Amino acid sequence: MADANPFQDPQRFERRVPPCAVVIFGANGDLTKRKLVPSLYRLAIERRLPQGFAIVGTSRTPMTDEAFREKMEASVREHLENSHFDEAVWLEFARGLYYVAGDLGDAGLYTELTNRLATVAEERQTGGNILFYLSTQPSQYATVARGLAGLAKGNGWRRLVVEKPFGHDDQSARELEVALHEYFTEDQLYRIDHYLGKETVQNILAFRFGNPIFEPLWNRQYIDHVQITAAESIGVEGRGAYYQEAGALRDMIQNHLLQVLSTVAMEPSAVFEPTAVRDERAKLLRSIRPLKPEDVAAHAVAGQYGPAAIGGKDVPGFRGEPGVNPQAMTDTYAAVTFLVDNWRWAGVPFYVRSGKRMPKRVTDIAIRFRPVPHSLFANESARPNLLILRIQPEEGISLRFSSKQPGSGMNLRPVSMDFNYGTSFGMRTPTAYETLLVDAMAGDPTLYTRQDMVEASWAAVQPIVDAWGNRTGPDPFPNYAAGTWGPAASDEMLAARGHVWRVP
Amino acid sequence: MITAVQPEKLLKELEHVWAELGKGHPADALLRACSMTMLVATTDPKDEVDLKNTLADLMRAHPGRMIIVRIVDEPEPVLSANVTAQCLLAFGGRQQLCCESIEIRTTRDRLADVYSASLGLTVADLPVLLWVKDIRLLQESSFQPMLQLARTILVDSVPLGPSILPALNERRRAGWRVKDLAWTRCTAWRETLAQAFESTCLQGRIPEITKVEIAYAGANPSVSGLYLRSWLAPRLPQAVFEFVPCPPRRNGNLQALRFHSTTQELELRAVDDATLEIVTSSLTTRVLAPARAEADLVEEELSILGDDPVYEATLAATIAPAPIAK
Ligand SMILES: NC(=O)c1ccc[n+]([C@@H]2O[C@H](COP(=O)([O-])OP(=O)(O)OC[C@H]3O[C@@H](n4cnc5c(N)ncnc54)[C@H](OP(=O)(O)O)[C@@H]3O)[C@@H](O)[C@H]2O)c1
Repeated sequence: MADANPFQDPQRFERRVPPCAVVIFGANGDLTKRKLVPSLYRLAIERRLPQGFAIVGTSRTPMTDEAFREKMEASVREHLENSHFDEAVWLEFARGLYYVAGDLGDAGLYTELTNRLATVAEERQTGGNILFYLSTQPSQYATVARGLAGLAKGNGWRRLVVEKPFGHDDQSARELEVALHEYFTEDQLYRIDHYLGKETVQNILAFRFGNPIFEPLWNRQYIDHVQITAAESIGVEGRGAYYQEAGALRDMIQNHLLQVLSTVAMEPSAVFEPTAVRDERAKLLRSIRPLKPEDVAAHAVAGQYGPAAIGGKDVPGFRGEPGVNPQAMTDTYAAVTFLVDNWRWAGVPFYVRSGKRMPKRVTDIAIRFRPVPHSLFANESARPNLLILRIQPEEGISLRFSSKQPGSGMNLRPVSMDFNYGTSFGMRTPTAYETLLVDAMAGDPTLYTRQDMVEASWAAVQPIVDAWGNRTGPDPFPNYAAGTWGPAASDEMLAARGHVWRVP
Repeated sequence: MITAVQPEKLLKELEHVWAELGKGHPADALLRACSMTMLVATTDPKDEVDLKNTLADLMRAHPGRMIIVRIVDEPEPVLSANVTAQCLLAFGGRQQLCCESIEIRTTRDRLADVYSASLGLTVADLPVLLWVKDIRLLQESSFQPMLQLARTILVDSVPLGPSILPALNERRRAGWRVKDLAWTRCTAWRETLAQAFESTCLQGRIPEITKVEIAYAGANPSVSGLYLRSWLAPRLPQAVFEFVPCPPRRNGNLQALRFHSTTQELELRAVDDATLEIVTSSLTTRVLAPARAEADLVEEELSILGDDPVYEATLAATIAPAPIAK
């Protein structure tokens, strides 16, 4: 469609969005308030929304359009990061906000939505295009998809954005797929993994495939191992009830971190085009070696934090958090050794860890190169090169290499060459939700997860989920103190291969 | 007062400035960042503070070595230089981003020396851009050698108006990448229009557009208005173009674009200094389009790394426009 618009100037203009209505299910929820509506408003500020645009929110709480607008205004004011609130833009934006109350299980809701969308299409000139956004509990996705049967076709396009989690195991992921596919085709489904929308994760592709000096080294011959860390310093912050059902393996590793791993390890696609890029990601995920039940213990470590004093302040253990079962067996920390069975990566361990209540908030990828084959220098020999791709909080790239210490003698010391991305230069980069919302409205699924990717990543973690679910023996938790880098067993897992976790 | 400008000496002074800056900081506290050399030629004795602020703003996204060539009118020949470095801590950052600048004060008669010294001052292997802050310099013979320093020249044609466009086009034809902030100011208009025409319904009506009015405030249409006509004309081959004067609603010359067709009218017009409005028969919407700071405009140009075929074609067409009705 972009080609049909002669006024485009892609070198200068951001990606264009066609006229459309965004229907948010769960419009009274946390995600809508914190992320979705503030991101859409920011797009309005930056003139990235089409002239014909509307948002129709729906959830159970009865509200008028006006009350919904007021509520959203308060949320936008509160959650607008790094931009100012502009009254005039808000007034314009708010004219396109509508609300329909109802229960997702009630057929009447969908009839009312159908009627309201017809009026909105007329009033706001949305061209009949509709993006449905499911920001409700995953258990309700199938109900909504069924409810939308009547709306799934019509003038203009229909797309359905689904929030994670995509199932709680491989079986439920497939069931969800069947339920959604009954009314929507795969190319209408946009499974959101906001990690893929992060600028810095996208930058990994630019770094790898835009700089030919690294690609020849990007394989088992030169890379010793890879460490992917996503650490949070906070605990469960009021989401204890949700989190105790999920845990770090399901909440972070199965989706976000395996997507990051696939970005680091995938083969280059022939073109930067949705199907090609996603094919390569999927291929990589399918190459992850599935663990046999008897191998899980040596390849995966679960942890749960116990109480501790951090900086003079007492913090509770996970089982002492509000809303958490005092006997909860949840993994608030998970570390997994993944092996990728293909020519490029055979034998290179990918260590992936994620945890809550770690010493600091950091997400990064460390690529550890092999040591020199033969050391020329006495004393401290050259330390292996380390390439760090920093995702948060300070996005950028660091390369550690050895340099001669000034003075007589040939003593080497590690030095670091740093590059910080635009965000560190003080520029505002779009948030992951802004990027992904624009992509969905523009019909570009490159950064969205496809069903085969979901299934492949479940296949990679399912043996661990099963083993941890069938644990016997004494209660292993808590096994690390809040404010530390996780359980000792995690260090032992790496030590077995002669490696150590780096301290990010 | 004349002192020769010696590149080696200045570079050494820069090293010294960096060494001093680094003292008392941990090794990674300062980042000496450089992505380009930017030469800025100015004649305005009063722009010191403004220019410094503009360059500091640019530095965030486009850190580099700034070489400011301050051309002064003095009875005696002048040539002197000094070096500084400027650091800023990005919001939420831990590392200060630092850039260096070299300011050369010169009278016109020493510009040839400035040219030769600048050859030794540009950063190796990185792009060099020449921002001719005073566009009149383009027409001065003493300034011509300076143009050889960069293949990309940035100007703002507004002070001279359409009369300078042939000179810009000549540079373009001779192989320079020319960038004009008068064109950059059109982006908000062009982008809003492009966004409106994302509607398939409006796209289908494009062949029906038979007339475009470009409403301007002031004595004559500005460069931006001329540019817009040249940009629109090949995209709307059925349309005739007309410049129409109108009262100002917004600072600047351009006030509205009106598209007339057999079936529908569309108008993109200024509401006030910060807002544009798109009016069709069925819907009126507004978008934010405040006047942009100079640094913001320059930044947009710097973000285009290669050729800019859309502007190049527009500039060429503006020099040899189709006949217009007025
Ligand atoms: N919050 C986050 O940061 C985050 C991050 C990643 C993914 N997610 C995912 O995003 C989704 C939404 O999360 P959330 O945190 O926004 O949840 P939430 O705050 O609990 O909100 C749930 C929303 O669903 C509505 N709802 C619940 N049952 C309903 C029913 N039977 N009929 C109609 N509406 C119903 C609620 O309406 P009422 O309030 O009117 O009852 C509320 O608007 C979940 O899938 C979650 O896993 C959230």
